[in-house]
Amino acid sequence: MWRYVLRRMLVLIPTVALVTFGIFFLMRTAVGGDPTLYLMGHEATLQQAAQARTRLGLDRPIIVQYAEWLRRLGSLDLGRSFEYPMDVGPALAGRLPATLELTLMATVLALLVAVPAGVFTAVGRHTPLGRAMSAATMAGICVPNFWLGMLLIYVFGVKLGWLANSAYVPLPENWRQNLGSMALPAVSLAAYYAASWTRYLNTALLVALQHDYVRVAQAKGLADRTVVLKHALRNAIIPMVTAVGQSVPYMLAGAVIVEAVFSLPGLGRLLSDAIQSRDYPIVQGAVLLVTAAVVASSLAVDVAYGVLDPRIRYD
Amino acid sequence: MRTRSGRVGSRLTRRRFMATVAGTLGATTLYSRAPAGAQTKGTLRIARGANARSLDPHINARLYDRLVLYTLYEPLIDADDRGNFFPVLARSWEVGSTGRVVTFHLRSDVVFHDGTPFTADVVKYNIERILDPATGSEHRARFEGIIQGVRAANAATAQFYLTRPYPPLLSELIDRPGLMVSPAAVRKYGKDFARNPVGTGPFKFVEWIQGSRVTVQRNQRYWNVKAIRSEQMIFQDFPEPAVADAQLRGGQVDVVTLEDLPAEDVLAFQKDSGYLVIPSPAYSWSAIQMKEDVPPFDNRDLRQAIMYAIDREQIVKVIYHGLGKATGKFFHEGWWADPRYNGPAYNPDLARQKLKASGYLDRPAPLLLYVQSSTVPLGEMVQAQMQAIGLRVNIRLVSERDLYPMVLRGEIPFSIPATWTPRPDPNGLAYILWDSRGYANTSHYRNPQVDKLLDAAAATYDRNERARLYRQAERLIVDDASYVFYYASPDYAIMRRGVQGFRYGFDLIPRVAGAWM
Repeated sequence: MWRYVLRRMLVLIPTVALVTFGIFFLMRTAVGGDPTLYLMGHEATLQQAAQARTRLGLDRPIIVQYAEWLRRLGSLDLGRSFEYPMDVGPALAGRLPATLELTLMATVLALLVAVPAGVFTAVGRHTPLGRAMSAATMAGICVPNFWLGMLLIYVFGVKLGWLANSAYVPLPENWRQNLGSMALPAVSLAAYYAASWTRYLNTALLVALQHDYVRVAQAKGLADRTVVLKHALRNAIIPMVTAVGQSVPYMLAGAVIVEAVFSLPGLGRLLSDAIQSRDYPIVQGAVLLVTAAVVASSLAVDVAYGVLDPRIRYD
Repeated sequence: MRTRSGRVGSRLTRRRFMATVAGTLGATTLYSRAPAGAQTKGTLRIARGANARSLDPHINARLYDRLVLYTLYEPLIDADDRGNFFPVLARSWEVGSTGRVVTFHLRSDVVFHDGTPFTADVVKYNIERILDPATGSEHRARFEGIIQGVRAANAATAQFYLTRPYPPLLSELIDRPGLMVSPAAVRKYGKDFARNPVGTGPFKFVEWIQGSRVTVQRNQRYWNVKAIRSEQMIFQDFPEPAVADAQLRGGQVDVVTLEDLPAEDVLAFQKDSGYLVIPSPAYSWSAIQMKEDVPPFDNRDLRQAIMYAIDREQIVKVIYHGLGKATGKFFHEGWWADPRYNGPAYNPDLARQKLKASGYLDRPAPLLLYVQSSTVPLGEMVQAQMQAIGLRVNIRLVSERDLYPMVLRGEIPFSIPATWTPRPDPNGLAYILWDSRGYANTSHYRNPQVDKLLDAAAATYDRNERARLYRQAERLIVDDASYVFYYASPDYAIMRRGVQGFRYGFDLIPRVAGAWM
């Protein structure tokens, strides 16, 4: 297993190199636009913009700029943001906690809903409540997360007045206010995944319940709960691990919208703003981080398989 | 698999599910159940649109970052809502007989937040910092070629030596390049000064959570501390107007000062007696812009045809819900504005005549109008109005951030909107936009008569003469129609009743230091 993990981690290097290389060139060519003009706004003159380009090293050939970026990466220096007065590393580190917390809370919330709901809609699918929950999952998939976020703000903030102290504060500063400020964003982001994972588990469980081992278990006189939870669910949850792992990049993308709606200082919003203002160092650094996160989550999914299913072995 | 009831495992899983729901409801105790409007006493919470970008007024600070900057820093002088200057860090000032030396007599009771004194040498340092190319300040062009140098005659007297008489200098000194930073702090923090601001302002910097908020606290050593009623101010970033409005209604913020507050939001709050809506005293204007050196926009008849084809009243009524005003000109307030002149009116018959005279009717290709993507209905209305006189126009969308850079690089010759905020001196915009040497003359407008009028107006300190010259220039610029003006509007701030002391500057930037809840 450890040899497998090591091999997969080594694959991370060429993957990240390929992605960052692609983004480096795409930002400067296909996306285009002069970062210095975005920086200076209406005060810009073409002459000052040219001087700024020289100061930022943007007048050098792209391949030279990339080589310089790689050289700095070797000493863990991601460069300095064009737009904000800070180095890229601290800028990303400052934004990472909010995004990590948001996606983690959304994942946990979605699983807390999806697992029991998925089981119930499978085994209780002929009941009125089971049918209602199936319909609710359709709504959860269709409702956009930004609309849900604004609706939650309206209900809990405007109508109920429960958000008096809900401005974001970092977790170490005040855990209570932090969780209060993250709860609604997490619900907005989790809703879609709770719904889609519910349906995923529902399908997987229905398939599992058709297998012979389930009939054998029933014939042996085992209780319904034991048959469903100990045997069928354990097999049904394995493909769901894939679904959860594959949702990570989409959840990070969805976090951009939710962060904007709730004004959370997250990585998604930073990346979105950086792309628009052509803040190349921030874009490079953030893409590097997100790529590593996606590859790492994929690895975690594979390792989880091995834990959940003893039949799976990695050489 | 069936239970005795015939349902599959239903009794057990339902109980578990209900337990989960109960647990979720219990989790709502995480919320503080303080009533709406709960806040720390003496704290004013202000919602703003974009993220703060820099707290160094000389480098990379956006126009609307000034909302925060004016609490931390101060200029030598400021302007009231009529555009009249009043002293701040300077007690008084005078212009020498040649018009080329401006002397500021400084307050002697001012210290920076780091305890260092504010003196004439500090003024010299700040101006030289702007003019130094190594600083990389985007404001250098505003002083270059005008300020020859600054001399500290003594600790409380700073003299500006100019290459020529230049009345607009005072207006320039109110904006970011005129805000005084602590030289000691700049030397201490270097490139990180923008995150560790030190000024003489009524508030001191506390923290900046990137992407979320800036917090400032009352400066107990401020030279006019009795005028400051708030203990603390929190500037929170809300890119979405709808979210900022909800935060205001929910009691999480006290004031909303977004740059492009939708007209619908303003009107809704105006009808709500629980809130105050305060308009700025001055107006920003919006126009269709054309590059005069690119065919077919080098054709004056075509430009004037477009100018007369625009039904400004319809735009104000439909797009802006009646807020703001229809206008065909760009000087609206201040001693230089002409209240009897409002520019050209909607005249479709004249527009058709001009179009025919231009010869453009015979050409098959439609014009391509670049429209900022957040203003699509406006673009479509303008398109329809031009098509009504027989001018075919197609629309291409451009993102808000890309529009000005593309205009500056000359990539788009026909675009909407071009929006500019007013300055406390008419030269501020007139020169940079319409003088042939102006650094923001993106329409490549060339009119030697206008250049002469603007040069003469900027060279005399006689206000009446300046007003006469600027009004003359305005008429020429409007008639040449490289900009087709259609709308002017104040900015609006919405706040809870109980907020006091809020005021706008002439430049549409709120001065909130004296405000309290």
